[in-house]
Amino acid sequence: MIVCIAVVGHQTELKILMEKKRGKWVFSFVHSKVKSYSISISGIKPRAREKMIVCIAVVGHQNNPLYIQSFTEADDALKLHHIVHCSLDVVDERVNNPKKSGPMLNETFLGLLYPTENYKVYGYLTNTKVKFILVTTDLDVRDADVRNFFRRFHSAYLDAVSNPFHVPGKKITSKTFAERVTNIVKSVSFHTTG
Amino acid sequence: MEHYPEELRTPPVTLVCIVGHQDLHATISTHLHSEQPPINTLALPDFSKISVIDKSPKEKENQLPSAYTSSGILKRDWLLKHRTRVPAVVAALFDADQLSGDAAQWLQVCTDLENLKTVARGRNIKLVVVIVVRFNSKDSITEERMVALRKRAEVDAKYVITFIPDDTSELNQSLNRLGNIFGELAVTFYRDEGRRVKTRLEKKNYGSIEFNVRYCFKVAIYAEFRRDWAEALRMYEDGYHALREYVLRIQFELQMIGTSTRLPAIQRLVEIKMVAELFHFKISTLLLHGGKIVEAIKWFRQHNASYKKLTGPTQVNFLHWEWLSRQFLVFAELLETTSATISSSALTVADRTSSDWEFHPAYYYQLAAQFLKEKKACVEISVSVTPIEADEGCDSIVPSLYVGQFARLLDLGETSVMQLITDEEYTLFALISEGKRLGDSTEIIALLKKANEAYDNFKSQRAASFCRLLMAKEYFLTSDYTNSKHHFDKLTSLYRQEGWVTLLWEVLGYLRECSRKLGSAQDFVSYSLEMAALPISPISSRQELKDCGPAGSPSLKHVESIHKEVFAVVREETLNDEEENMDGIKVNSDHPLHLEIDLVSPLRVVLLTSVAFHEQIVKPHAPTLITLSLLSQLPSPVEIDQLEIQFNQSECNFIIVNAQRRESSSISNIHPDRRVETVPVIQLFTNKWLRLTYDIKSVNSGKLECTYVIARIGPHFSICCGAESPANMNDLPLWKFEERFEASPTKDPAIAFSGMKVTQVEEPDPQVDLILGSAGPALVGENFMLPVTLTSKGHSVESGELKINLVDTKGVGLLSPREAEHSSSSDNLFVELLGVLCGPTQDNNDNIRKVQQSFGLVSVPFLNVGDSWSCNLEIQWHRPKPIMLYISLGYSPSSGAPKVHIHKSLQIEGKTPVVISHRLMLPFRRDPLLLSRLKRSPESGQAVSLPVNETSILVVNATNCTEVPLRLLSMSISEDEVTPKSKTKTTCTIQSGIDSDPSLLVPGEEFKKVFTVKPELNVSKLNLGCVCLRWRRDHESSKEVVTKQSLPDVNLEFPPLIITLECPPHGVLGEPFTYFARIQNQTKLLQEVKFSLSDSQSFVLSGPHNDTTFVLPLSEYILSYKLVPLSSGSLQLPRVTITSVRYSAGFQPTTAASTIFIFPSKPQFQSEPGKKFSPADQAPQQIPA
Repeated sequence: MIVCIAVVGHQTELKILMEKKRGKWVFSFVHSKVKSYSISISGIKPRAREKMIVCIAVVGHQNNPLYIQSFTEADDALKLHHIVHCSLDVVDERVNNPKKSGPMLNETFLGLLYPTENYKVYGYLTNTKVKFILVTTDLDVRDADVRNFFRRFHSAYLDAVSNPFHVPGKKITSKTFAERVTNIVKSVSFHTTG
Repeated sequence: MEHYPEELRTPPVTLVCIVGHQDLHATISTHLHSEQPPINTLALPDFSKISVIDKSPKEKENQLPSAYTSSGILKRDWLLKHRTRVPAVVAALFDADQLSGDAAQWLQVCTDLENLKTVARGRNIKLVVVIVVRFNSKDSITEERMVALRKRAEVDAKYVITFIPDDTSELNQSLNRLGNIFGELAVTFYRDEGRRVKTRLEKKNYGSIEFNVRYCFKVAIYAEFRRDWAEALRMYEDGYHALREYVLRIQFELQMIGTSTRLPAIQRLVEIKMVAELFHFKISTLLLHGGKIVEAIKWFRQHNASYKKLTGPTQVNFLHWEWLSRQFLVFAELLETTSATISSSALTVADRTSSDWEFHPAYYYQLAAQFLKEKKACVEISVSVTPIEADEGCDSIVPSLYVGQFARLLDLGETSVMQLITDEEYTLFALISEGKRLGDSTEIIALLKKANEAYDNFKSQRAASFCRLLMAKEYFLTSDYTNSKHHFDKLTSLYRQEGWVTLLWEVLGYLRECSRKLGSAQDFVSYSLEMAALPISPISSRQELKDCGPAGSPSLKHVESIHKEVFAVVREETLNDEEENMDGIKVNSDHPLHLEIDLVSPLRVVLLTSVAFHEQIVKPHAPTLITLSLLSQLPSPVEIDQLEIQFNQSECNFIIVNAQRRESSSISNIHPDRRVETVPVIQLFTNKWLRLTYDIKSVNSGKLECTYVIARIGPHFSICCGAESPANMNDLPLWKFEERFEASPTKDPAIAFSGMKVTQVEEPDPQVDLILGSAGPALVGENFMLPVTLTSKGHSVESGELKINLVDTKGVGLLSPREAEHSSSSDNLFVELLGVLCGPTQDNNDNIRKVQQSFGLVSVPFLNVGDSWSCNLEIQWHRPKPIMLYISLGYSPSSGAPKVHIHKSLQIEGKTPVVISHRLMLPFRRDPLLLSRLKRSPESGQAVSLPVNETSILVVNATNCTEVPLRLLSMSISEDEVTPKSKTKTTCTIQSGIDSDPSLLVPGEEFKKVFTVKPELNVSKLNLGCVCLRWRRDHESSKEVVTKQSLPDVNLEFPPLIITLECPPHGVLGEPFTYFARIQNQTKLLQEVKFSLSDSQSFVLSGPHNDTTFVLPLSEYILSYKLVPLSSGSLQLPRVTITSVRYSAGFQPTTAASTIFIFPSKPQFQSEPGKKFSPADQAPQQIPA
């Protein structure tokens, strides 16, 4: 969408400021008498590649990784491993202190585990106490979308571990599973709210 | 927080000034400081010093170019000035004497007041006049003077106060008054000042946004002075927003116009950020101290978001990162100090769920460290781009008048002048000062350490580990390898435990590098081996992980190269290309390397040894098979030069040598007696068991356990591996999560399932016979002798010991030593081990011999092969009871050799030898009338009654119940215990002829002995004593045994009537004989007696037939009949029936008593003439009938 802005003003005090806030352009009109007001223009879509799932992991009972895959071209895949590993602390805390999590009792979706500077980490706990960890760069993702993603991921996981040749508790090495996960990740588009 | 000056960190404190009367200053300032809220005091000794609080001449500003003076946002020293130099109130202290004194003094007072007023008015400082009076001259000052003074000072009457220092209570009152007035006036002062500035703000009466910000700051500070936190917070926020607008405007200007009117861009950005930081710090402090943690965190988030992108030009990027890091650090510190006071429970659930992490100071510390690291990187880049030459111009650059601004101080001799600097100069200055201060790494490490500790406190071990990892990396970067290694080492356990191979790989890579740098061959080799054996599956290595530290991405290629490298080191080969890297790492004869792998070692994946004996129990010296299985997860085949297998019995140790590498392996250190096996090749392939089976002969009995397997690779490298049993072998760490083919360590699945590295070597077979001579059942009462014989057949017996144990067959310990202690007193000791009789050959003194009631321990003398030794166990039964006799012999075949044990057991019945019964009888054909017999049936179980003064017959039977013949020695009746009744004597005459020669009693045979009993005293009960039977087994050696059995008591009765029948023992057909029935009346009464006679066909009889007669007292009446037998044989005599009317007791003789044998003709007896045929002799035969 092309947005055309015309600034017509002759008063010296009127200043128009442009600022990019969370992917939206915000125009602020600053007037020395009137305090200030701003108009935000939405509709300039962020580039799709910027906000996406960068890592997905399946973590077993002993907090051991069963499957971990990152979807990033950057060099920071190991960093993502660290993030997934650290987020297990939060999962542990939530699982051990269900009181604090309140309404999330008996729910598989653990919600936002912790925000890092550039990522958001979500968790999901199956009833066999296998954890799914999702790391995304999308900082404005909706819970519902993540839930939906986890549901699809869970079914993919179920199919993978239902393979009679899979030994429970061992790493998932199925190529089909990897492909399917990649497809899910690619197909998911978290719609930015607002 | 320590970056900030003191005045910023603490809330501002009211400042007042006191002038004059120096002696009171200490008292007053101390009191004011302890006021609530406290007041600081600026004490001026006399009025000449008053100029310090005067408006300072703006010298510094004059030094600056005019453009500069108005371009700052906040003046650096403004707050300090208000906290230390500009008081809210000035109090002039005058002595009462001065007021009431002469004109000159009064004039002085007036002058001083005038000066003070001038100074105070310039700053709107409130004035207070204090008159110091003595307690005793309170009223010395005249009203007139007071009014004059008040007028002079132009103050309200209430601000002229008296101060009385020389009385305690008055002093306190004065101080309190002073404090109150100061407090009140100070609040007024700060409010007025604040309002004045605020008015300007509200009217927008300022030239630029800078002033807006500055005014907001001032109003907020004034509000803080009077502790109006809400107002202060509001004003700070306003100021912050105004600053934000300012930033936006500048950006806009830059974008639109490309130039900036005032300060150069970099410096302005620095200034803005400094001011923003200051505002933010104040806001956060106020929010957190107000307990609004959530708001504070929101505010911080916003602050961070606003300024994070304002990085500025690349050459000064580092300033931005430093600034950002400081924001996080300061916030973390603030959060830490507050969260100590505010419990986290105050947070609602909704607050927490937003993100728990943001409540932890650790999170901020970690990010602060992260940004500082970023800064470090930027500094390095900038330094590399901009050459730093030592420019002395930079030395003169100092912080200027405004917060966040710098200027050059030009020294012009007397005075100095501030000069603006360009951005280039500033950048250079910043870089140079950066170069001067060092220790970014130290700071980063300190921050990470804090984060690590804070995470640890929250039990977030993984996040803590991550911080530790960053810390260790930082140490690594600063070449502090010792510390780095220490921290990396701590990390490995968590990653190993949770199986995070990639993370472990990274850590191990660093560790390997650290040990290389530190020159520790041992560590280098073990880390390399562990890395090489990590489960790097093709799946996980599909993605290239680039930031994995010195080891590179975990991939098969790297794994193999590490493998190759480490084996080159241990085999002491030289790799040309890596020669220079391996300088410290050498394995050679001076530095041999020995690694140990135990059950918990991470190196189990490198070499896992499983040892299984094929048999769980083996005979000594008999060969058994042992399977040795080796498994390695190293990526390439490993060739082992030599394997040494060690056992707990070192005689069994043996060595397996790889034939191909025989020359390279050093056999020199091997014991020459050791068994050496040679195999063509010992090579381990990845995840494939190498199984070697050997036979092995145990030497000693007991446990034989394989302890270690030592693998030697290269001349000076060995791995000592703790042997494991296949039956209880743990999974390999890390590899257990991998999908891999898991073969069993042995081919035989049974051994793989249950094989152990331990086998039990049995004792050698005993070559000694232990014979228990069984002599059939034991008899109660006798000392039963059980012969035990030891015969040595192949072993000599040394330090032999014989243990004897008697146990109840029912499994209940018959008489355990414990039980015996308390049961010995009571009579329930059934079986007793009396002693052990050994052969007469040895003296028993030095032998251990312990005999208890059911347990015995006897030492056996030395026996040569072929010798024998025997002993007799002496056991006594008190009750019939079967028992088990356990005998075990332990001995050593030769001195020092382990003991050999033989066990024997024997069940022995204890039997009652004889059963003694007795019977009391009346004499034949003599019947006393016992009245007690009339009243009951004779079968009822009451004690038997005996007639007094009548001879009764006691028959004692002894029946042999055993299966062996017994010889009876004697039977007698003895009085058991001496009782008072013992004088009432029974006369017992033994009439049996067997008294002298012991009779032999075959099994089942009964022995009878007859005693006569004649009670002579009229007592109601008679104790008959007990039967005493002496007997022995029917062979010479056996000892005699006395068996006693007491007889029951009998009742004694006086018979009123006694009937005696008399007739000859036999008759002859046709020959008449006389038959009497005597009725003897023993009473002193006349007894009426009826009698009748029934006829008998076998006899012709004469005599009274049927009558009633009287028997006189103490006399007898005799019925006599003459009988002629008509037939021969055993015939019934005519029956006499006698009835006593008084006792209504009838008597009829028994059939036996009224039977007589009639010979057809006179018999001819051929027995020896001396022997009389006595009726007593017949009695025993007649009784059974």
